[in-house]
Amino acid sequence: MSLSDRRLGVAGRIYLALTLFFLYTPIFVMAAMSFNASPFYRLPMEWTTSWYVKLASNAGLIDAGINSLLVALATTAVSTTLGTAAAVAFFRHKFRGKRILQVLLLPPVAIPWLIIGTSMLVFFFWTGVGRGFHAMVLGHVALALPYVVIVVSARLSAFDIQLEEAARSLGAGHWQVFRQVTLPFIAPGVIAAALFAFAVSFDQFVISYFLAVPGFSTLPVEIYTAIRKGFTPEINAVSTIVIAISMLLLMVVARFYKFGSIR
Amino acid sequence: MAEVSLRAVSKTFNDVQALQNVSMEFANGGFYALLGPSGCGKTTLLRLVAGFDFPTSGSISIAGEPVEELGVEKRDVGMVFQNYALFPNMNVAGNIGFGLSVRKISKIEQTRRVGEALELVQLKGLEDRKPHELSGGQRQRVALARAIVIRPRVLLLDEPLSALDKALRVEMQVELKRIQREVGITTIFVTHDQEEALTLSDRMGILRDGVLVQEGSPAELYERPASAFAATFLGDANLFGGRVAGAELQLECGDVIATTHPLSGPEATLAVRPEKMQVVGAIEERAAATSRMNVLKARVAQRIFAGSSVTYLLDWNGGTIKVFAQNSGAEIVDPGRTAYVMWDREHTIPVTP
Repeated sequence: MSLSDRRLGVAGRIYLALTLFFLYTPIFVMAAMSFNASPFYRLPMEWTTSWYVKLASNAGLIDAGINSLLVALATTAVSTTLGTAAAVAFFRHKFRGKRILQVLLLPPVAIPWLIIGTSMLVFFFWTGVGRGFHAMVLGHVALALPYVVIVVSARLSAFDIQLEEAARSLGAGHWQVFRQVTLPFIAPGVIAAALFAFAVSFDQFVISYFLAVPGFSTLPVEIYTAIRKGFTPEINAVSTIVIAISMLLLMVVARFYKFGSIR
Repeated sequence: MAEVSLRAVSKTFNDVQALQNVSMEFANGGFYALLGPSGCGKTTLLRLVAGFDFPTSGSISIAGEPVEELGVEKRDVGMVFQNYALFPNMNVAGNIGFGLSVRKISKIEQTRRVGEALELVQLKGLEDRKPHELSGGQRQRVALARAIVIRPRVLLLDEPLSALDKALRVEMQVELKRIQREVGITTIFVTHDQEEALTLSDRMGILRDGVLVQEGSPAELYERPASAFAATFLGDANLFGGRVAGAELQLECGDVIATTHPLSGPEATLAVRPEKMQVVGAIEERAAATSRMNVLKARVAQRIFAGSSVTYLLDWNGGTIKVFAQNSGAEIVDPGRTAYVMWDREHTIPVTP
């Protein structure tokens, strides 16, 4: 029995190693090549930061980076506020259509972005919303909202509703109850949800591509455009920066929010 | 004057009638226990007084002011919950001071009153502890201090002792009574524990299926239960049903039980507390017949010896009789033997079936 256990352990370890290898090697290679002097991936590596220097003077990519940050920050603020409010409402109240609303939150996570992007483009064009910063924030909020509601709801499920009742009996109004009792408890979930929302927006390509206008596009869109024109290690450099930021964010999420468990 | 009064209060939750036409008065400074089996509506009643729920019909007033339109945050009630509901993100002082800070009372005054409250519940020195660092009894005290410190008009306790173990519960009962007396606050206490209700309250009400069955002082309720339900829910009782013949009850089995209390109707039910009865091995029949005692001949089926007391279960023509006897040195009758169950006619209480 211990033998088969060990065999399973070995198989599992190999599986894990392969997964990590295929997941992270391309990223490591790309990150390494962003510091390689040769634009044609020639080895041995010759250390350089010239691609980063070049990137710093690439106004198009820098602007797109700033746009990405602005859209992501706006998306985070809006979707976290709305999503938390929705999660609290779902938690506190019983109302007609609550189940339907909760179920309707899930499809955007499953529907291909290409289809969502297309429909958004058509819809925004038809309603006169148009394209650009505001349309992009609108689209990203719609995408990020379900994640926020789901993550905050998971945290709320461990919350004792009697704490709110106790606070109210002590004279606290609804806002005071939320600020001083409910929010402190769900804060880890809200922070995790905000970081999720940021990541969803910052990494978004398809919808951004559809809703970008000349003069306003985001980093993923600019990178894609640049690749089509011809590949330069500058792209490696900017991608490395993006990945570093994303991974940092997710590590912060993991710090606040243990995946698969409540706390 | 009554501090809290309910007039013809009914509450319906989705077609389920939780309370039916309940009218009650809670005297100023009184300690009132609401007793009943689970689902009897006692917690609903408490939540209506608190303002968490609103009556379907009827009116509620606190200190003469109608409150049924006011939400809980405007009612000035202090509530202690079954699981205490302490705010986990705040320390003891923060929990107790919450109601004061919400009321925008000055920091100096807050500190003073929190200190006072801590002294009252004997938790001085634990100001900085978080709820999870406290024992069950300490949490209970914090919850109580938090409710009292806002100087509410009414203190509402929802089974506050049920989460504690037996020894601690008895200790907290004494504490609760002391604190309530010291503060002199009108208190409504919900419990399913009859002993707790009897020891703590100076008035109590028994609820069943959303209806107030009976109310009165603990002694009144215990000595003069009005219904078979009240008699058996609060304490233990032997019930006898039969036909009324003057001041006596003719039982189906042929025995006759007399009472000093007026009997009415063709049929009646009598209740007798097991501790009012005694079991003797032999009896002088003539003496019994002329005394004020009721006597039934029975056979000891089971005898449970518990040191200070003995519980007898006796078989008799009409069924089973339960007797609690103090171990006062009197004869203890062995199982299987014939015995006589005797009790004073005055302790034979007519009840509604």
